[in-house]
This record gives sequence, C-alpha cells and structure tokens, in this order.
Amino acid sequence: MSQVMPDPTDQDLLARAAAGEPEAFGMLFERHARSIYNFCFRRTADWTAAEDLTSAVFLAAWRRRVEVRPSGDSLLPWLYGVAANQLRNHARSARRLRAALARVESPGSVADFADEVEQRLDDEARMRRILRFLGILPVHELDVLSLCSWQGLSYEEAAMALDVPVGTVRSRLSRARARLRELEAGSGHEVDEAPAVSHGKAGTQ
Amino acid sequence: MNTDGLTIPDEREFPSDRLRVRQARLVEQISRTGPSAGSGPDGANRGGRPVRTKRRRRIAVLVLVPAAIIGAAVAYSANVDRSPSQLGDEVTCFGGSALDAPAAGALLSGQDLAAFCDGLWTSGAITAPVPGPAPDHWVACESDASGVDVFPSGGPDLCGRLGLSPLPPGYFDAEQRYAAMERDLSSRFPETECAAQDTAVARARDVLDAHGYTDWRVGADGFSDAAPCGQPDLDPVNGVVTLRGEIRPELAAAVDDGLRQANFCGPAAVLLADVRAALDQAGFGEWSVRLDHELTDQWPCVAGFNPDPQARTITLTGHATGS
Repeated sequence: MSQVMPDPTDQDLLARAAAGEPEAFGMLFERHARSIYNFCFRRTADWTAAEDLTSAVFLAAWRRRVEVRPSGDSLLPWLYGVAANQLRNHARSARRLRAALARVESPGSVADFADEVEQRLDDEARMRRILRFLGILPVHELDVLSLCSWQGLSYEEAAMALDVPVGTVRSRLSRARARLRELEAGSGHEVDEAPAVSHGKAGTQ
Repeated sequence: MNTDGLTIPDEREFPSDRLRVRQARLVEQISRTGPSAGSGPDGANRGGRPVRTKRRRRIAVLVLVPAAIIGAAVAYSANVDRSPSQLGDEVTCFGGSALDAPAAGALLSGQDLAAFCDGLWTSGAITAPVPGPAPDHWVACESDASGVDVFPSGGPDLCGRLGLSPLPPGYFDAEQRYAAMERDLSSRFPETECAAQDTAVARARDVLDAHGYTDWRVGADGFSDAAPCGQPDLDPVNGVVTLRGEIRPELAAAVDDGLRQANFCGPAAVLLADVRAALDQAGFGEWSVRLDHELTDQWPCVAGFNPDPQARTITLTGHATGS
C-alpha cells in the first residue's frame, strides 16, 4: 500500500539544507518566492527589481539562518523580516544590490509575453502612485502597514518578522492609518498630488 | 485588493521559467558556500558572474586590515572551521553587532578592510540615514557562509556569541602568502592575452608549486571554440584553481567598447545597436547581443555583460543607475 508523505515543514527544509542538502533550501525558495516577490514589488513598484530582490532576500536568509525565528512551522514571516531589512537598504545601496546580484546572477529577467508586459507596467505605475502617497509614512510604519494590510500577516507574525513587540505593531499600524486618513481627507485621494518622494523613500529609514 | 483606502495591484506569479533559473542558481550558490560545499572543480564553480565583476580580484588586500579590526579576533579560541588561507574575498559590513543588523556586502577589490566598512557606513549603504560617525573599532569574524563578516565592536567574544568563528590565528601570514601567489597568478594571465587550455593549466600548476601550494589541484572547465582562453578562478576554501574557458579578449574588448559608446545606458535600442556595431567592427558578426531585462527609469543602465559561448550570445545584464 502506498503512503502519502506529508510535505516537509519549512523548518524541516531549513534543517535539511543546513545539514548539507542545498536542494531543500531551493524548495523553500519555490514555496515562498511568490510571496516575497509580491512584497518586494509593493515596496519598489518595480517587478524586475522585485525579482532581483527576491533572490537577494533568500541569499540573505541563508546567511542568517542561525538567526531564524519560525512562526509555527512557517518561515514566511521571518522571510518577510529579512525582506524588510533588504528593502531598507535597497535604494541607498546600489552597491549592495550589485554585490548580491553578482552572487546570484540575474537570469534573463524580462522576456514576458506582450500582453502581460502591459499589465505589469500598469501595476508599476499604480504602485508608484501609491508609494508616493505613502511617502509621508516613516518606514517603520510602512513596514507594518505593508505586512499587515497587504501581505495579510497577523499582528503577532508582523511582530516576529520585524522583531518588535506586538504592541508596537498595533501602535505603528494605528498611527499609519491615522496619518493616511488625514491625508485622504485632505487630498480627496488625489494621490498624484501627494508629495513627490523617490521610490527609495519607501525603502529607507 | 483595497486596503486602507488604497487599491494596490493584485499579486502576480513569479514567472515560472525565471523562478526555476533563480532557484537553481540559489542552490548552486549555497552549495558553494554552505557546509556541504563541494570539493572538486565543479564545486568550486564561480561561473555566471557578470564579466566585469568576475575579473580577477585582489584577495590579497585582506592583509591590509589594521590591527584594530581584529580586536576580538586575536582572542582566538577553538571552533575554527577553515584554515587561514581558506577565507574568500566576500566581505559583509554590518551596522550592528548582530547578524540581522542592516548590512552591506561586496567583493573586496583593493581596499583596506576597515576603510572599506567605514566607507559603506558613512555613505549610508549600511544604514540610512547615517546614524553617526563610523565605529572606532570593527571586529572581523569568519562568515558562516563564505568570506569575512565585519561588525562594530560589541564586547568580548562577539564572534562566538554570533555563532561565528573569529579569524583564525596565522590569518595575516597566510593571507600575505596567498596574496603573493594570487598576484603572481594574475600576472601570468593578463586579460589581454589568450592562454590555450594546456598552456593555462601548466602555467597555473607552475605558479602554485612555486609558492608552495603543491597540494592544490588544478582543473579546467568550459573550454570550446568560442571560449578558448583560460583564466584562473581561485577557490581558497577547497584549494582548487580552475581554468575556465572564456571568450577571446578581443571580443570582450569589443563589447566594452560598445557599452562605453552608450555609457552603459539606454535607450535599449541605442545600447544594443552600439554593442552590435562594435561586435561587427571587431569581426565578431556571428555573435548576437540581447538585454536580459527591460531598462526602466529607476534602472536605466546595465552593469556589464555575460557571454554565452555555446549560443554565441552576449547578454547585457545587471541593474545600474548610471550615477
């Protein structure tokens, strides 16, 4: 009789990778790359940069594996924390990105089908407007907003990802929402009229 | 999706073809740097870097680390994984005394290590805005992956508390010896000359033996009609020099000329046309040229190129701002 083996947990995969089975880390990448990719896009408004950053996040995660803080069986919140850290340096540190990319070379990044290219360009334009709008937020509030509101993390998971107390997550999210309500009330959602902020502002301290 | 009054784009799939490629490269990377690093020339493979970053680097510069930087390292104890000469050339400077602190990493290329980290600190590359003057003391540890991790001084036994090994004793002597060998090897393989496979292997063996690295192995990889020129790739962790078949220097020079003509930046059509013209002028008309990503306002330039000798294709790659 055949048996159906349960999928290995993230922690299982990490342990296997650390024990000398690098393909297990590749499985972790396959499992969570989509989430990190979309998170990075929403902080950079650039799908291509998000691809590169996703690779850099997993490389950084490997380097920091001794620091891993699992949330249940999932490493995803911790990976979000690693990603937030990467994004924080992203815009101000082209050198760092280039160094990371030198180690995980970009593989033929954009060979998209034409119809999807247009959709992705629309995504980027819309996300740029949103990030300009959110440029009024301190980055630590944007971290919390993006993790809880966009990526759907619980307060506890966001706290673990960012290594702050749960109460801090709640207060930052509350302040972020208050700021946005004020801005929305004042601007009538005319996000294009929001203060011009380089996209890197969203990713820098 | 509509949250907090802002409609953000829906999530998209990571393009599956590129997901596989990136997954494979990640696995390859951690295979080389992790605890299960291979021991042969294949395991030492460093191929795939853009050409401009793959050119030989001066690992020797690690000897220039001032004494202050090894403050805690001299309090060396046990727990050493590698011999002094096995450390590579990757350096990561951290903004705090923890592995999850903000960090900036790069391949060392001639700088003093402390000055290198000072520079990253003051530029805001590690933490922005810059939190204050650069630390008076840095502590260098043997990275758990490869190379060296450098932290602001964080009290005694920082490396141990982070689960890292201090730089091993004899590190500086070993690096000086290693540096001399590496310099000699570099001088024997000028980038403007083409050393055929047999010549390149014999030449590397001579250099290793002359410097006492008789236990190092020499291998060859990737030679072909389109990649006939050997260039050495050092793997200090495994004690291997791999001669890698690379394109002719005239071809690399032609691509560089084309890139410089366009200042490495778009518009894409102009960039491609400039490189194409340079290839044709240099007699490499059978090679094609392509971009591996779309140039954007944020990343309007490329950082370099990768040749694919099998497909005879030059791929312009890397995201750069041009500033």
